[in-house]
Amino acid sequence: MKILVVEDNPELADNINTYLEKEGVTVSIASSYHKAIEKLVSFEYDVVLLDLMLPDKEGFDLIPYMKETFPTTGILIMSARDGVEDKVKGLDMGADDYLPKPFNLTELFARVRALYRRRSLSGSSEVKLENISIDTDSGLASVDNVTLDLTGKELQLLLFFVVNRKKLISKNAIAEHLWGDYMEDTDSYDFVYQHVKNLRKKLKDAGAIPEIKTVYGLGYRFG
Amino acid sequence: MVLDTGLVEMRLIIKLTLIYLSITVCSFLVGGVIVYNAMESEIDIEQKRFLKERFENAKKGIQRYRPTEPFLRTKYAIYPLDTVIKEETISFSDTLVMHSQLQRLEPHLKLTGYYGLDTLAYKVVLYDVIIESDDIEDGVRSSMIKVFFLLSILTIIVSVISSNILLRPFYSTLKELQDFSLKKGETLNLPQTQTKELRELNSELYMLSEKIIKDYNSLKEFSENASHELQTPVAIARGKLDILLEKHGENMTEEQNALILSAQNALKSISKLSRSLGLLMRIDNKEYDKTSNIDLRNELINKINQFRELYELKQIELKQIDFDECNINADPSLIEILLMNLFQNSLKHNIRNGFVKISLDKCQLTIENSGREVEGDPEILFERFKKGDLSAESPGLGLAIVKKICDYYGFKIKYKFNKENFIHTISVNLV
Repeated sequence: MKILVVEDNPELADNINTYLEKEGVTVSIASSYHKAIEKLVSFEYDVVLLDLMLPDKEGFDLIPYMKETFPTTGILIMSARDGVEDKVKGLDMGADDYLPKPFNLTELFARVRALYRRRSLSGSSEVKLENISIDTDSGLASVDNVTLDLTGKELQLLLFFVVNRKKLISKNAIAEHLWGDYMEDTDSYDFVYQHVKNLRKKLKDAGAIPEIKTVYGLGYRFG
Repeated sequence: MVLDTGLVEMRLIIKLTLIYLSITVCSFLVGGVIVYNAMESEIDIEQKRFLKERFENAKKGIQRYRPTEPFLRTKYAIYPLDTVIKEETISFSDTLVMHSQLQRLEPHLKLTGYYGLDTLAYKVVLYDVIIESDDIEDGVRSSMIKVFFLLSILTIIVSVISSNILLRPFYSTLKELQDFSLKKGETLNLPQTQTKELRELNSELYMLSEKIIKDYNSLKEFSENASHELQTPVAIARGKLDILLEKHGENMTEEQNALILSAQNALKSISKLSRSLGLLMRIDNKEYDKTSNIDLRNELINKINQFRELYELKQIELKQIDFDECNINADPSLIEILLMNLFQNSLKHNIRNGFVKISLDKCQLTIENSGREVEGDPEILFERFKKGDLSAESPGLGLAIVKKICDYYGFKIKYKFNKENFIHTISVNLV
């Protein structure tokens, strides 16, 4: 997977680079609108991560260009502006997703993967890990072709685990992934724990090979 | 806000008229005295001249008749004298004489003249009624009063007319100021006028409005940028910590991990706080003005579905009572934020195995939930950074935001806390 990060802050771009490269993602960085255009002229990317406030132009201005040149490239806006207007405007212009800053890198990766699935592997909406497979279209998960009985949140959680396989996933990242911003930390750890406990039991009962391991004090690791 | 100085409010033109009239009263008083004195001295001179003329006539009479006996008439007496008069003398004096018609003593001016004709000498006494000073005073006073009244009436008429003409530009300036709204971002549209003072006022006001709009916009921009700019460094720090945990988390001690986690939580609080303050500011700046018709019952059902799972996870019993139809006109994002905060509140401050009871009676939304004890006046929870539960991690902006939105739309909100069973009740009347 090749992605382009259009972000003028070098530290933030570096964070994304470090985190995603470990996943085998090829990351290019453009620090301005014009540098982004230069890159887009020469290479094709699977996903573009777009910051809205660039030094030379608005990030929005890049969307029409990309839609015209590479209609299949996924666009994920990451912005410090949390206004609903920006989100609606971005999605209206053809962006695929919107992630407000600051975000969890785990969450960012999950969103990038989801975009990549939807865009590049058109047709196949199946995510697999060993004997677990998830059909993201129908929202069904199965182990050895036996459908699991999962609630909506459990399915979301399983997908999050599968996408971030072998990585350390903090409780914070899970809480934010499942409920967004509106949950208090005190409650959310508890809720995450209950969901993970239920999911772990269902996976184990179905005989799934990967398992959810607890990393004491930090979170979980799957696989 | 009106400054109350305890003084009676008065229109400018009435003030000016009153000042003008009081000055006129003063000048009429002084003028009356001057007129009185002038008239008195003029009358005096005239009377003396009249008496002198009669003295000359008397002299002619003496020359013709050369009387030897005293000749007495009303106001007229000639006495032959036994002396010799070389020189003719005249003297005036005031005296009281019986007035023949009025039959009473009246002050008279008396001329006493000595006249010598050859060897004969005569004393001539002439009288004339004095025009009394109180008569002059009466005349002066009554004419002054008449003139003053005439002048007052004219002044009032002229001031009413001229104030309408002269102050018209002033009133349109005032109207324009009343209609001035920062949000529209339009400078004042002030009327053209030829009056120098109003011109100056208008140009100063115009510049002021320009400056206010500029300052307001830059302040708005600054606050918004500050809230955005804050998110980027927070995002960087969080990312670094994510990477640190991911790379080295398992080689670190539990204590080191706990430090990183609490640093991450603090960063999360910073960005939430800045977002909430940004929201409060945007409501203050009236940036939410999109209005659409909202089916509140529908919104409420959606929210309940969103929170149902969370209530279950905390083993909170959810009770839903008669949701009436309620449609309101408001900004959908604000109503969403309002409901979100109320629901969050009922979850956050609830206890395990507690309950939450939600009802929508007409447009009266009531959320009742079990919870912990709150100290002090529940109303202060609507203030920023005030929390009932000091252990909570949230900065205490949730209810402040709720209150702000309610104030914005004029919704009445009430908070009650029952000290016996620790039940919290928030009711919002969404009309």
